[in-house]
This record gives sequence, C-alpha cells and structure tokens, in this order.
Amino acid sequence: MASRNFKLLVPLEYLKIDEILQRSLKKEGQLSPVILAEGNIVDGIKRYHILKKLKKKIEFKEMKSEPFSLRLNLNLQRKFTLPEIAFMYKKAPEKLKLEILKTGGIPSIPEINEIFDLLLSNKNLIRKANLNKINISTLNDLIFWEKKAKEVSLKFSKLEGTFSELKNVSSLLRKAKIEGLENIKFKKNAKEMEIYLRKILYPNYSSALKKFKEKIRSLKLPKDLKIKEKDFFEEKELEIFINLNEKNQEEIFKFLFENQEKIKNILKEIP
Amino acid sequence: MAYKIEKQKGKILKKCPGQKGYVCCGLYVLETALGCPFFCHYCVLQNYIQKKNFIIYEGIEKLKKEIKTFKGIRITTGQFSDSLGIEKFYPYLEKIYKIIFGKNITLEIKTKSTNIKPLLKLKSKKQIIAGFSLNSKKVYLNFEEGTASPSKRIEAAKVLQDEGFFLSFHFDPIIHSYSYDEIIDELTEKINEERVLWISLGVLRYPEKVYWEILKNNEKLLKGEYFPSKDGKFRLFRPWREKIYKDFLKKLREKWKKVFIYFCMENKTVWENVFGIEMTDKKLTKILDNLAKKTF
Repeated sequence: MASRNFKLLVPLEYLKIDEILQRSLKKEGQLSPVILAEGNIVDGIKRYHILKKLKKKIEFKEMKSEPFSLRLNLNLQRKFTLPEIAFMYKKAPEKLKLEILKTGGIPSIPEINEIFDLLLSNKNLIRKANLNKINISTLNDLIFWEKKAKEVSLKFSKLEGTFSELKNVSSLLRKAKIEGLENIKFKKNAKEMEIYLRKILYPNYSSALKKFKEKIRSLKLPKDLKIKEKDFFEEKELEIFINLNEKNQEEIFKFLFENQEKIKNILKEIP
Repeated sequence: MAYKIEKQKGKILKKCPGQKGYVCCGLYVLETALGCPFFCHYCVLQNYIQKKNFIIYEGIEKLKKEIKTFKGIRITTGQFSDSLGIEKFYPYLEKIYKIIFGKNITLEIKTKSTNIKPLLKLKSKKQIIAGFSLNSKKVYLNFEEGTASPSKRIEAAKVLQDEGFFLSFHFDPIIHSYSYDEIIDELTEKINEERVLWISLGVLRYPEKVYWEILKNNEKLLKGEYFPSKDGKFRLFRPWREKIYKDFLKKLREKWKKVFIYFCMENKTVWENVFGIEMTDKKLTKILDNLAKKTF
C-alpha cells in the first residue's frame, strides 16, 4: 500500500508541521495508522509526509466514511489552522459546512466565502494564518477595504507595504468609516497612508505629539539619547532611552545635567 | 432573554481586582450573577456572556462563612449584573441582607432599573446604599436597551430617599459627544444632596475584545480618539477625558457643592489635573468606607 500515491484531503501547505512530530516519528516510529477514505488521506497527512521523507514503512487503515466528516471527527481534540478550515469549508459537502466553522470557532458570517477565497488565494496570508498572525477579523477588514477601494475607484489593494502596515491602514480606514470621514486621499504606500490617516483621525493627539516633538528637537539631543512620549500621553510621563558606552558616557551625562531644567519643563508641559 | 441557575464554584465574595495604573475604589464584588436582562451596547459583559442572557449563581450561604474574615467593607452585586434588574427573576437581596445585617458591612446596590420593591421590603435601611447608574437621555435612548429611562431612575431614587435610604449615582460610562447638563439639572432638582453619599464618573473605556461587539451593536460609540492604555483597555485621549470631567463638575457644582465625587478607574494624572489632588487606592477606599458608615 505504501507504494501507492494517495490524494491528501487537505493540502500540506495548510497544515502546521511541527518539529516535535518529526522527532517523535524518527525516534518512536509510527504509533497510529494513517487513515484513508475514498482514496484520500483523511487523517495523518503530516505523518504520511514525514514518514515518506524518512523512507519509513507506513501503516494505513481504510475507512468507509465521508472523508471530511471523518476528518472532523478524528481531529476534535486539536485546533485546526485557519487555512485548513477554509479549505475544508470550501470543499466539504454543504451539510458539513456549519460544523466545520463551529469546529474552528469561526462565526458564520455572510462574507465567509469571500474571506476564505482571499485567504486561499494568497500564500503570504496562508503563512501568516498558520503562524496565528492574522485572524478572521483581519481578513474581513481586508475584504471590506478592497470593496471600499473599488467603490471609490482607488486601489487600496495595490498599496504596497508590510502586512502589519496594511493591517494598520485597514483598521484606520475602518475608523475613518466610523467617524464618517469622506474624501480620503490615497497615498503611494501603506506607511504614508498610515501616517496620513493617523493625523486626520487623531487630530488632538497628533497636535500634542507635534508640539512635544518640536520641544524635543529644540534640545538638540546627542545621537545616543532619545526622549519619547509614553502611551499616547496617558500620564504625565516621558521615556528616555540611552545607548550608553565608554565613548559617549561623558557627553550624555553632561547633556542631561546641563539640560535637566529644560527636560523637566517638557515633562511639566505634557498636556 | 434567557437565564440559567448555576452553582457558584469559587468564592462568592471577591475584591474588585482594579486595573494596573488606575485608582480603584476598593469595592468588594458579590458574584451573585453574570449578565443582566438589559442590553447596553457598550457593556463589557458582552465579553463573557450573550446579550440579554444571564447566569444566577446559587450559593449565597457561602457568604456567611466568607464574610467572617472581612470588616468595614463595601460590597456590591452590581459589578457583573444589575442588582435590582435580576431581582424579578431570582430574589436575592433579602437573603444577602439577612447575612450582612448587624455586621460592619455595607451593600451598594447598582441598577439601571426602577424595581425598588425588594429594597422597600427590607426590614431596615441600614447598611444599604441605593446606587443608580445614570446617563444622558440621548445615551439612554441610543445605547441602553431595556433599561428604565434616567428620569424614571431618578424618580425611583427619590422614593428611596424619602423612605430614608442613602443614595449614590454613577455616571459611567460618560460618552464624550453627549451633553450631561439636562440630566444633572434633573438630578439636582429632584434629589436631596444630603442623602447622596457619592457620585462616580467614568468616561467610556473598553477592552479590545469588546470593541468588536460594540462595532456590531452601535459603531457611533467608537467615535473619538481612543488609545490602548496600560491595563489593555482603550481609553479616550487623556486631556479630552479631563475636559469632559471638568465640564461635568463645573455643571454639577453649580448646584451640589458638597457631595463626594470620584473617578472610576482613572489614573493619578487625571486626579491631579482635575481635582488637584494626589489620589491612591488606599485613600479613596478610606474616604468611601468612612462615608458608607453614615448608613449605620
């Protein structure tokens, strides 16, 4: 049976291969059989992959059940990855769809098909989802702003940036919608877009921050000394970062000593 | 609306855990229920239980034992539920009162209902503080489904005041884009300041998880410059909160000069900038504990 090639019920890329499993299979060998149904590997996809790579004999067990239903039942104890849930949801028989969502703890929202399509169409998103770095609500935001961008003939989807910048832009655009802001300008990349949105959505904080930064600039800090605002001015506090070494220590201590009144004033003037 | 009755597994009386970096009033929470029959769009309990659903915890007899180790504390049933809102479903007040009566303990009721009968039926008014949560009428109309109107709550408070109860009022959460002038006028006209032990104020704040619930319920609540703060909750930009408190106090102090006013979960900077005093958990707890003694 090991020489046959089986179809994997869920593609390997949607699963998280952990080193513990690899080590255990290497050391202990296969403890439970790989389960087959209708020519698909239903359970033990990772084990099958690892054992095949290790060129070890693989033990199978054939079951007569609907493959997706069987996979759900056999894996109730573990947490499915988001791409795995998305894939199963798209491929499984209609009557199983709700159960699949429930198993993954995912709400049955009308946009779920679109969300899963977006996820499965993008390798970067799959990778992030497997690392638990994005969730359903982030994907939902991306879909929302894709649509919004289309509505206003703007290419949000083409905004370049890291995933975290895009995520920030996405949540800021959601906030813009809550605030009822219209005529949002689209900038050339996600970073600039984020700065622009923060400025218009948080005008009081932005203005306080601008004043604070001007005062800090006027101090002409040595390059290894940084003074920053803390927690969005939640308290009258500021943070001082010193990168101290033997070369700069004299200069930094001298600066702090000579400018202590000015620094105290900046602290006092925090709104 | 649905509710179930469960056995209280852990302790029934717990000190409010407070939040790191924010001054806490030192109230003890009597966990008789989780959730309430009302649906306030901003409610933090949405994090734990579905709207308009609640669990009643049986096991009040535990209180007899647990309370022995405490002296001079204030307790409430209104932290994770509405103290009087659930009385219609599971009368608890009388049982609690029997246990605390004669001990050095006060019970602060916190409610958005007008179901004051259970209070009026108690054998005494001692050790009871009848607390009403109040808000601007527009906030009530937009975000407090199923509750009694603020005017009705004030009327109920007046009945209790005339019966000899001490009162407290909690303006929490204050929503920044709404005016509180009208409700302050109504409160100060109808209620006798002398019978009010304290008023607490707190601008809307929410944990990140509740953000998504509020977004579904009523996104208007999320307008404004909210930022994550030390305790993980999102709070309005601090100078704005201070302005809201100052405006509120200015209006209230036109009529009521003496009543003690405190902030619920505000940091020391806000206390200093608004009241010009350095406040700590210990100091605030002491002030409130002393005021509570008036009910004895």
